[in-house]
Amino acid sequence: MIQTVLDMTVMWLGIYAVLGAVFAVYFVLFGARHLDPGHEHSSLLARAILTPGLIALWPYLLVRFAVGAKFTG
Amino acid sequence: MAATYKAVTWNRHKIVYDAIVLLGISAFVGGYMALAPMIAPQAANTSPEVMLISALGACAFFMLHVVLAIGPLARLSPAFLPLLYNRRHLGVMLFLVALAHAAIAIVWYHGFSVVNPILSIFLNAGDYQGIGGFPFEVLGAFALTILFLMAATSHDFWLNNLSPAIWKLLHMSVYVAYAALIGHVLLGAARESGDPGLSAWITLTGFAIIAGLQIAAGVAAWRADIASDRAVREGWLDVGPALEIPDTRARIVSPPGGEKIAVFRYDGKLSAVSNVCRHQMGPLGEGKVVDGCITCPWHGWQYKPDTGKSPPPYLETVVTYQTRILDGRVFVDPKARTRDNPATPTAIGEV
Repeated sequence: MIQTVLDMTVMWLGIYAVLGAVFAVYFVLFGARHLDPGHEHSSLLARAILTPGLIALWPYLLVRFAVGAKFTG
Repeated sequence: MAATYKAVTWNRHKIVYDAIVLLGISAFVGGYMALAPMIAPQAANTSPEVMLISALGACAFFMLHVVLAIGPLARLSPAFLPLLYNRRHLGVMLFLVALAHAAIAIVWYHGFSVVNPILSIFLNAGDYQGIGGFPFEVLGAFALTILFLMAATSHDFWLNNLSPAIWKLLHMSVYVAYAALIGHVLLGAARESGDPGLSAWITLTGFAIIAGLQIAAGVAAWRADIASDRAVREGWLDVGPALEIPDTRARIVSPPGGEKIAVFRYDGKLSAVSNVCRHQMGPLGEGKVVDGCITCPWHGWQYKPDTGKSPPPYLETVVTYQTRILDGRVFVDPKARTRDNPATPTAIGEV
């Protein structure tokens, strides 16, 4: 029982991470400037360094994209 | 500031700070591996891999104590402010050391079976039936997850987009990670050696130091607040003698129920602004006036003392408060001025 629960948990975490990685690629290459004007002229490295957080917190940022939220400083 | 994000905002101080931390990590790990067999006889027969796991874990735990101590130390004495400036870098390096510890431990202890190594941590480590048998690895994994989230969000982008309140809440979870790591260290030492002994003493001493510093900083802040309450006269706050405020520095006062106010002395005059930096809520009053601008000690954000506005092209503003001098003592009106109607500086020497 415990092993089954753990197997499922690891599987879903893996799916979550893969989806996060896909989101991170989109964000780093195209989406950053749409969410935060601070990335209007930022370097690829400045966006790429956010990747671990993007993979961990991608649902939150996806919602912000969906509602058109934008940090204005 | 509303400027372009950078990967890392390098400057000479940050490079020196990081170099010192890297040297310190190397010295700690090397020293631990060399000295542990001499101090703890049971370590003499330990394999180099296990010794490295232990050294990295001890180093990460020590770094966490340093990170937790920096805040209260900086509040107790300005001499510790340089340690506060790049605490973000120290935190990220702490996570990387902890990650190395965890990765090597997982491979060494769980990497050579048919079971998924990650699953093995939860399945094969203990019986969950009581405190003594509780799998310490699970506590370590929990703490590592918190440290990862903190390291991953250690960038201005996350501060701005998570909101300062949520970001602050996330980073306050370092204390939850600390509690989990105390359990991880004590239970791990008990499991490995049967007698936590030295590990328990070191861990509890570290906890006592951190708790003592937090209490001391809290008492100091409480006393300062009490003194400010007593000093209210005619609705204005008594800041103290004007000439006792060091040039280019500030004195911080706490209005009852309000945000702290920093009263700066510069160019023969006084200006009062909110003590809270618009960047990461750093304590402006612990900074200094550099090139005519109040400079936050945490990350160098600047504001003109007479208007509260950041120098062009930046747009951030902190509120200002009107000051006056009576009988050589400075008083500040705790009602903030609007951004369109900032307070006028008070020349020292006016009565």
